[in-house]
Amino acid sequence: MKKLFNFRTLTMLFVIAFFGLLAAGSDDDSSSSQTSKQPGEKVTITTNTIGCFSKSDEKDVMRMLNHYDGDDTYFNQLIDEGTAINISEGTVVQIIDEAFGMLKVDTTEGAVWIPSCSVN
Amino acid sequence: MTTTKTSTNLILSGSCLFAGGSIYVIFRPLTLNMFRWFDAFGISSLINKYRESLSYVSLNDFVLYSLPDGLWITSYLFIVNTIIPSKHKKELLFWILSLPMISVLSEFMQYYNFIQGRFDIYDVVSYILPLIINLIILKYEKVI
Repeated sequence: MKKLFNFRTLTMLFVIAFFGLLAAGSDDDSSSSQTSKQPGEKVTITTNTIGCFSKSDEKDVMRMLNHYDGDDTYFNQLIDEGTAINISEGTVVQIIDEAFGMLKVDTTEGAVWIPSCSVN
Repeated sequence: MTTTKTSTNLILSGSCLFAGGSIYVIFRPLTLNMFRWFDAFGISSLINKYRESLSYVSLNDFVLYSLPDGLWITSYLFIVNTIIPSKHKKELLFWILSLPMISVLSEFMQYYNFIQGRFDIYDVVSYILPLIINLIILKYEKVI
């Protein structure tokens, strides 16, 4: 009886699946409910966060948050220096710009960059 | 197939894949699914760095939206020609035609609103052109 699937066919199915994954990744998500937030949109802060006036500072904040061990010294220092502010959970802010993983939002203390995961 | 030809095919396939992927990662809008995946993998800052370092580069619409598709199809064709021996003519033709045809079909399904997306004739050209070139080469090599 002839084999239905040989090794080549199996390999090709994996190749097709890989390219299918590429196609899925390159699909635009802008119409889904999980869409990235757009400038002009009002959003609610879902968790207390640190907003930085400088984009590069916010990148450092995000790096620090990825390895957060409960020590707030670095974040408090930024706030003391006036380069960052605390934004409380529940605050409603308006998006004015976006970057990968970050949003620039308008707050009562000025425009700051925040991690995009901290809004709804 | 000789080892040299296999290696060359794999290198060319990887290069096309990388080139097409780079256009997507560096120049396409952040609303693509892949950027959420990058975020989940924690490599958003690295991607951001590359995007910002090349933010002064402006690509035309064909390079930005259609060329990556063509490069990915080309990459796929190199892989097929590596995996399937030329003596299995029907099998080779089946796999060579499969992905480009699926892609063309999906493009026309976008045209008729069966699936989400925007029909672009340049995308269709990008899918078909590498296929035609591959078929011409196979014909020239008397494989088909």
